[in-house]
Parts: sequence; structure tokens; C-alpha cells
Amino acid sequence: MLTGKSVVVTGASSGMGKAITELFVQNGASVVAVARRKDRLDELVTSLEGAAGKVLAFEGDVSNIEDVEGMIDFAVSEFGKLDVLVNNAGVMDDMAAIGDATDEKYEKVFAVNVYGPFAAMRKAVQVFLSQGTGGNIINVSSIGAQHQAAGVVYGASKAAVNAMTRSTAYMYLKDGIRVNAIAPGSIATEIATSMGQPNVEGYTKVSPVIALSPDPGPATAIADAALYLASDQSSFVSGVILPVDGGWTSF
Amino acid sequence: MSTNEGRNILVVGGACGMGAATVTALYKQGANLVVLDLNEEAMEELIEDEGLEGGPGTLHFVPGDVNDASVRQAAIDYATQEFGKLDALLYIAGVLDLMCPAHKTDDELYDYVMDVNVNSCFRMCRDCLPLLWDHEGLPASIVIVGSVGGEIGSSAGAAYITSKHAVLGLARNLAHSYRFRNVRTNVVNPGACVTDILGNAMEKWPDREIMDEEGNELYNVRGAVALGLDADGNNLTGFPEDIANAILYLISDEAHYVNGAVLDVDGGWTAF
Repeated sequence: MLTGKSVVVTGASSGMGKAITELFVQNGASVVAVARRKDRLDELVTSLEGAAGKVLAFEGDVSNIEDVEGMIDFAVSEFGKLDVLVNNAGVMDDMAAIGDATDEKYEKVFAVNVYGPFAAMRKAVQVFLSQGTGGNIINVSSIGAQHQAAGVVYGASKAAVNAMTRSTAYMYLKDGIRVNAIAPGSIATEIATSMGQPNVEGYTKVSPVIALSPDPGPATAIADAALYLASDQSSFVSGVILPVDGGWTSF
Repeated sequence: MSTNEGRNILVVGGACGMGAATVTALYKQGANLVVLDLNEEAMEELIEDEGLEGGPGTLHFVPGDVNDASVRQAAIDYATQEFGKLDALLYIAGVLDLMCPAHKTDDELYDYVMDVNVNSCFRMCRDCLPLLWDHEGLPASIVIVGSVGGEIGSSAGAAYITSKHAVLGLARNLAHSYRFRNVRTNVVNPGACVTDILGNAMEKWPDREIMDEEGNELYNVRGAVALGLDADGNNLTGFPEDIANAILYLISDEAHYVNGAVLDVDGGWTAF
């Protein structure tokens, strides 16, 4: 479904980003897999040898502008163009309510979850416009943008992702650049390791909402949604926030 | 806030609960009311208990079922003959299902809920428009009482949730379609509220379980009800006056620029 497409996936060393990279490469895409952990990217590259597409590792941190612009330049120089950007890298907050939320957490979470996609979308849009053949951006948001599944900082960061998604979809409608978001619910990934020590009071407050979640879904469920949004099967879809949460937020 | 003194207002569902609180407040401000309600006894009690006689307002009661076209027409005819125009239409009548999920909702239950909550609401709004549009001065106003069940999936059964989602669409289309005809339409979405709506459903369907067991399970254990708790662990429950106050705001002069709004009055329940 993605044969010949040049793709950048951030947060590709584990969880959803890894699943997206695997599925895209199996479907013929040429993927630049971006993450901080080079050793795990190298393992991923090795595991995908012989697949339909190609994958190259790019060590980088999405909160660093040089890395963000570097990853897109790398895709263009290696694959000759950029077709799809998947902003998947993300971190959790510590579940704190605002009375207990720290500047340190705010800055860290916004750097990765908001600035990263912001800088990457800006660069990708510039490339898309210069190519003149449209483009495709997929942002991994969260149902936490709307519902209380984490702390105030995480929710705010994902709401910002949704706003950037819809703004960019609208602003570049006529340029053929599609921009959509996936809002995962509970997915079995390693993101909780970025939480650090959870704020007990905040966690207690949101736990009734978390309790309504079905069993965590597999990361491949998010990859399947990303494949649809990256492919031409969704060519008329833009500005959408697609929940993939097993029905959790139908409450 | 502006007063409703001298305003001509048609209220559908004004004898009990939120409707009664609204009618009482409007009457005491001096509004001229036409009140349509099925429950004659409750209306008489309300008039007696709240002293809704001898002014400052006026109240004309039209007893009957809102699903009956002749009853609706009787209310509209009275407003046409006595007032000539309406300043506001308030659709407060509503019925609850029995918390049944779709596969337990038979046609009779579904049709009844949809008729009261949606179909008669649509017809009433449509047929009152000629009394509302081209209002002099600030816009005339329609307020539909929806429910937070219009925005979430788990606060009642399939029929009720469907009906309350539907009226949001109606309200938004009315808001859009008649904004240049000087009619505003807004929705109040109550959360849990102390009214007879559940008791009425039990009375209406005596041969069935009060709440379908499976529906009740979904509703209480896996649904939104578990999320709206106060500091003592009780459900966040409002009173009919809370809804009446929201309606009074939406029909006030101060709300003249509010059109197509959905105002949740649920104590913060659905912020989850």
C-alpha cells in the first residue's frame, strides 16, 4: 500500500512507532526511523532485512530542532523526497493535577509532545510545498486531549497536537497536504516508563476514568490506523482526529 | 438579567420537574404562558402550591399528549389568537427509556422515546416558527432541553441517547437556518437532576423491569455514572431550579448573541 513512499517516523524504537515502522516497511515504504536509542533502532533495522521496503535509522531527539530538521533532510537525501511524516514520539506526564504540576514536567512534556511535532510539521510542510505534490502528516495524539486519562500537562500537550493537526489540515487544504491525528486509548507500550514517579493524588483522581478502559490494545492497532491514513485509501480524509481506543471513550 | 415581564412564552412540559421550576420562575416575573403538559393533576398542584394565580403572570394550560397533533395545535392556536407572536418556545418535555441497550429496546419503547424527545420537538419548533421569526428588537428564542446523554454514550439506554443526540442536530440546524430571521436556538443539557423522569418511565412500563438488568449493569458499572461523584462519593445531582436558571439565561436579553450553544448543567460531571 505504501510502495515507493518516503516516510519519517519518530519515536520508532519501541511501542507504536516501532509497530508503525514495521507495518510501513512491510507495505513497501522507505522509512527513516527516528529515536534517541540508536541500539534499538539498529535492532529494528536488522529485523526488517528482506522486507518489501527499506528502513534507515536516524538517531535524534524530537525536542532538538537540529535533529528534527536533520531527520527530514536525511529522508530527502536518502530517498529523494518526503511523502509522509508520522509524529509519534511522546512522553507522559506524572498524572499531576495543576496544583501539583511542575514547570520541569511542563517543559519536558511540551518539548517532546508539542514542540517536536510543531518543528517537524513546519519542516515537512516546507518540503511538501517545494516538491509541489502534496503531502501527508500523521500525528499520534491521545484520547487524553479530551478525557481525563492522565495529568493536566499531558492532556494540554495532546490538545495542542489536535489543534495543530486541524489548523495545518485547513491551512494547506488547497496544497494537497493531508494532516490527521490518531487518538490512541490504552495501548500496551513503554510510555509509562517516561512517567517517573506518579503523583498519587492525580493518579487517584483519574483512576475511575482509566478503570473504564477495556484491556490495553496492541501497538499494531495504531499502526493499522496509521497505514490507512498514510495510504491513498484515505485520500479524501484530512483534519480528522481518529480515536483508536476499543470504545473506551464512548462512555 | 432582563425580566420576562410581558413576554409571551410557550412551554412544552411545564407541570413537573424542570418545566415546573421554569414555569414558576417565568410566571413570577410576569410572563404570559401557554403550558402544554400531559399531567393535569401535577399542573393543578403546581398552580396551587406556587400560587400561580392572580398575577403577575398569566397561565393558560393545555392538557394533553405532545405527540397528539391536535393538542400541539391547541397550544399554538391559543398563542396565535391571544398573543399573535411568541417571544420564546421552551421544549422541556422528555421521557427516559429503561436503560436498555439496543437489543433490548423494542419498537414500542423506541418509538415512544423518539416521539416525545425528538419528533414532537421537531414538529413543535417547526410549527411555532411563524410565531417566532422576524421578532421585533432582540431575537426570539427557542430552548430545547437535551441531556448530557446527547454528548456521551453511557448515561441511559439506546433510545434515550439516540433521542438526545438527535435534538442537538435539530437545535444546531435551527440556530443556523433562522439566525437571519431573528430567532435563536440553544440547548440546555442537564446532568443528573432530581425529577420524576425515572418514576414516570417506571409507571409507563409497569410490566417490564424497572431498569433492564443488562442495561443497568452497563450503565452503572462500565459507564459514565461512575465518574460524576462529589466529595462524599455521591452522584452529582442538580435540582430543577438549576435547569430553569440556565433556560432563563438563554432566553434573556443578555444572551442575545448566544445561538447554537449547548450549555451543560451537570456540576462538571462530563468533564471526565
